[in-house]
Amino acid sequence: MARYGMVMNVKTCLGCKACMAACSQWNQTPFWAEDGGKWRTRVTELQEGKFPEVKREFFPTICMHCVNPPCHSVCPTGATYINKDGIVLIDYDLCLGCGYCIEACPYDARYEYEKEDLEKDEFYFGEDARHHQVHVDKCTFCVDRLAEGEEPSCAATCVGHARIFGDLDDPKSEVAQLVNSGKAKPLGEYMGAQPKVYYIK
Amino acid sequence: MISLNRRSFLKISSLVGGGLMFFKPTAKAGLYTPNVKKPKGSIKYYPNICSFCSTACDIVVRTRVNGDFKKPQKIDGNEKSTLNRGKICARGQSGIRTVYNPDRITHPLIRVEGSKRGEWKFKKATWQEAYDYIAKKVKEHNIKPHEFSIFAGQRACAYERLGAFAFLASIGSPNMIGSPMQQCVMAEHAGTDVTVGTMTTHDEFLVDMDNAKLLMTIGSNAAIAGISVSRGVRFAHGKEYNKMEIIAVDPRQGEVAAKADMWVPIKPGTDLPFLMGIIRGVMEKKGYEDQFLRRYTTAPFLLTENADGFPEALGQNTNPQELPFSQGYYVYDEITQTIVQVPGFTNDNLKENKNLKPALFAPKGLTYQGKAVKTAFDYLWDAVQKATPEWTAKICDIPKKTVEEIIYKFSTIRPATVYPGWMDARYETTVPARKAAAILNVMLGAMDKPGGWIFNPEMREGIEKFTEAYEAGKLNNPMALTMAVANCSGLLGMMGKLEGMMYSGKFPLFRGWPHFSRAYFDYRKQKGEKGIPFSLFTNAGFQEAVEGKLSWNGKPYQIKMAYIYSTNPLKDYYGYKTWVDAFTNPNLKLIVVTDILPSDMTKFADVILPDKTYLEKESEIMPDGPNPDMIIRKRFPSVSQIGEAKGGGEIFTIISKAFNGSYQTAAGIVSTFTGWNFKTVAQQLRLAWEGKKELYKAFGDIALEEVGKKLGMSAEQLEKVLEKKGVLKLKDGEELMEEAGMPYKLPVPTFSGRIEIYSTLFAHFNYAYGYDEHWNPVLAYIPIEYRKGANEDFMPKDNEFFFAFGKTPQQTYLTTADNPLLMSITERYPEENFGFWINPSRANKLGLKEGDKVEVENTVSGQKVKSFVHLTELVRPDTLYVMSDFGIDNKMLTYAAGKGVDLGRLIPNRLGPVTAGAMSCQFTVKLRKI
Repeated sequence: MARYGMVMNVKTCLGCKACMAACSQWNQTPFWAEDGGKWRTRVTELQEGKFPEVKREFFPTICMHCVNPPCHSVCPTGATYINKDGIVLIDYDLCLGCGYCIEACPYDARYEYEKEDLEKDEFYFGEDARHHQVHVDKCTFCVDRLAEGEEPSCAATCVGHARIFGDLDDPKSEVAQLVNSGKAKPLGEYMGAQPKVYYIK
Repeated sequence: MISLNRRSFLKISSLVGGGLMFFKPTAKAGLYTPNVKKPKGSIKYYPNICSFCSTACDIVVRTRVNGDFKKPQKIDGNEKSTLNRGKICARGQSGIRTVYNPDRITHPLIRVEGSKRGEWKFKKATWQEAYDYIAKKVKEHNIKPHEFSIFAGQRACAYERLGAFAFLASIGSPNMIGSPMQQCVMAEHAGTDVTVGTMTTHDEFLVDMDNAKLLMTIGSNAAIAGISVSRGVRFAHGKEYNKMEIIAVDPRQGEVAAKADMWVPIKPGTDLPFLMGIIRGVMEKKGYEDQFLRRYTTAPFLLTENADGFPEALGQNTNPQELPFSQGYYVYDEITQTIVQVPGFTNDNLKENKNLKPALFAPKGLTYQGKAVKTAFDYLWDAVQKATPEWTAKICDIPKKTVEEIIYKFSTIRPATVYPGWMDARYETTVPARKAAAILNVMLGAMDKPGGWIFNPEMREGIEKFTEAYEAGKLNNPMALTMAVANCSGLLGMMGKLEGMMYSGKFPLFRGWPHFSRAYFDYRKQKGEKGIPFSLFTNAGFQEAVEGKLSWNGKPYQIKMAYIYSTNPLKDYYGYKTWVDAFTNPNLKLIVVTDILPSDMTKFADVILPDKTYLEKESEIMPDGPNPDMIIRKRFPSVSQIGEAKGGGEIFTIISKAFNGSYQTAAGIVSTFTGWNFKTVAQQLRLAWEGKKELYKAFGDIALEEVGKKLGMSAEQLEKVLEKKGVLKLKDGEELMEEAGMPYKLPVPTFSGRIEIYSTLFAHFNYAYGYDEHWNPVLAYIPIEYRKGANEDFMPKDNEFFFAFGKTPQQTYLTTADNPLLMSITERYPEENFGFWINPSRANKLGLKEGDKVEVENTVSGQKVKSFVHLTELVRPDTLYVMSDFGIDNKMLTYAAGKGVDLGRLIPNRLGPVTAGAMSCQFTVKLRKI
């Protein structure tokens, strides 16, 4: 048993979007969808100020794997569940696709994996396609990579080491030290969802 | 957002998930759903070398293997790699999407008879038919080897150079256009190269950003966070864990500037005066590394003004026919207060006399044999004299305080370094500007030590071998010297190849013909124009060669056939129309194009031959790029055959055969340059030329045997290790730096062996090509003209702007634009990727809103392009900025066609001084709403 979490170091995110590409290739997320695709992880560009006092920032987001996830409490079928390692997951067989969870998530982490997406998944990945039924989709911390002893795809490839993944219960882990020192803080703490993704800004 | 979709979604869901309430939650998120059979086979990991940009990261490909069938599933960085430290960028992650791109060319294609080049009318052909067609045309038009030119693009240039050289040697043609060199790297690197002796490792160095305390980047966004992963990991690491301070000089706030402590948005085109201002300040504050400059550089060399009025070192070899080695140079010794000779080729001015103290500044009125002499450092001081903080601030349009602050930091913080840079905007001043950046870095002593520019093992090996032969007096005859220089690493190696082989017209292999560029310089001379001394492997003169304007030794020199491999001159070489004219010229009897995807260039082919992607290819054993660690690596294919694609290596042998090319000659060249056993090479190349083995499988097998011998391993053992690990570390970079520090223990590959603030090579160019400020051996301020009537003080008004371009981290020009995954990420940000960036303050004055359509006109060439505007505070108000990765028009490219701005239609085909670089930003543009 572990308590997995991630620290996003916004200071070192270089804005290269390797994470988005990496995630989409491991998890076969709909990069093909219109208007720039559907993603489990995104990097949003922010800008503040006027030339030359303008600040540009790259802001990475994923599912926050909350301790108290609103998506979980609204799910009518119990498809959304929290596994032993604290990862918020969806059982595709139980997912009705009602979309309540998409609305409930304050971090905009979920989207629909639609019929067209299933077709495209097969078009791009052939018999290696991983999605065979419509469902709501979101970040899993690459639970299947963890099972193979690998880091989540996004963190494994993050050029700026802006995504630091690990066990929050292991005091020696970099992620635990950053969180315990108070250096990294969750987003929108006031909402009470208790995210396990923390930010250094 | 989802309301409309949801209804159909629910319907489908109820069908697929029928009776779901009866099942236990068994499906695991992100895994194969349990009701679907897993595809057959087992998972294996194959190492490879990423091919999406020149960084060449070490990767591992997770592959499903079922008998002979191989299908890649995911690419990750190789965790054992000390180059990219297990990381790769979005392009690297997207590789499999190029392998299975539905647009791929999978069969040879021959242009339909009666159709025109550019129309895209092709019919499928077999390889035999394609070969027969090529062989027939070569025979029919009696195309001789020197009438053939290869355009060796990114893949040939960065990964298959050995094959390209072997191929040219086999047919005996000197005509290699690489990438082309000047637009890709040379336009900048030349300035760095002549100073520190490097050449053609993109960016030239893996700068030790882990240990630097101060880093200044100038025009280097793409080279670091724009993105080169091996640099990006070090940049981010240094910033976060070593608190490296970052100064980013860039008219636009790119990714590097966004991470910087100080963003200095200087006026476009003012890099040279800016750097001169910093050099002046550091010299004035004596913030330079005095001992380092005295011992290991040409700064103390005594110079005099020669008859043509340019600085010349006492002892400089002035014979334009010889490579510029010298018997000795002179310095002023502060201890004995006399002028003394120092060796012609050495790493250390104190090599022969430890008691020497070479002066950086000569005493006033010093003379030598009646001539007034000063040190190179004196000349540098004179050159930068006018670049006071006030002057610099005014020319660059930045606050004086900023200039002073940067000077202060460079005079006090160590280790401090200036990034050597790659792929920024180009002006006629780019080479001297890069020379200035290198000089500043040398003044900081940031060479081959922690926090500085670190040489790679290849450079050390090459110069060590050369120095031994040189010092043993083995290079006394001209041919031995030429071959040893050509065989050396870095600048020496390239100049040996350039002046000794490609340009000489005397190299036996090429039957008395030089590269066509050399004939073109004679043509320019007749018109009263100077040659372009440093245009190695460029396209300078290609048009004239096709048009039949060139001659050599009284005989016409015409190019009749072009083989274009993995490059897109129509776009990447600038001047779209110039290239359309060249490729539709009937004098060009045959155009063969090899590519993975139907690029714009393929439209103009007579024959298209499908290339393989890197995941399908074999390779020789390769070094680890700029990595200071000594590492070897190799490609292991992880994809089953796709269509009828053949690798570029195989295609080399096919075209060679059409010329009756000789594998023995190829083997001779390969053996000379690699040191591999001739017999082994010849045996393997014979198999390749007979079509029995892929060329790169042959190179791989030779290398496994030859390298294995050195390591005391059998070829099989070595292959096993490489296949398992991907990278094999032979020696640690820090150890190498300690044992073979350059210039501390070994010379650097310049013609004096020292780091050259005074460039012996630039001086040489003056004798060979006539004096020009652009190749001043020290440094000269060159005021630029943006357009007629717009000089250095010019500030654009109304609808006129300076022009700047860059690249997005998700793309590398044509090679990636049609990748569905990368284009999807790109299209999330269409404004910044496809539009012209304009500062809102100027947009408001012109009544422009976000997304308004505009026409942009080049005020120098008259070229016009259309796109839309993107309003952003991230760019200077006087500058219009655009991404350079798009603007492809071949409709066969599903994902890329018709998107973004084609720079080839805005930037004219001009050959700049020194390197023939396109001066790609030296003009202004006018903006009109449409």
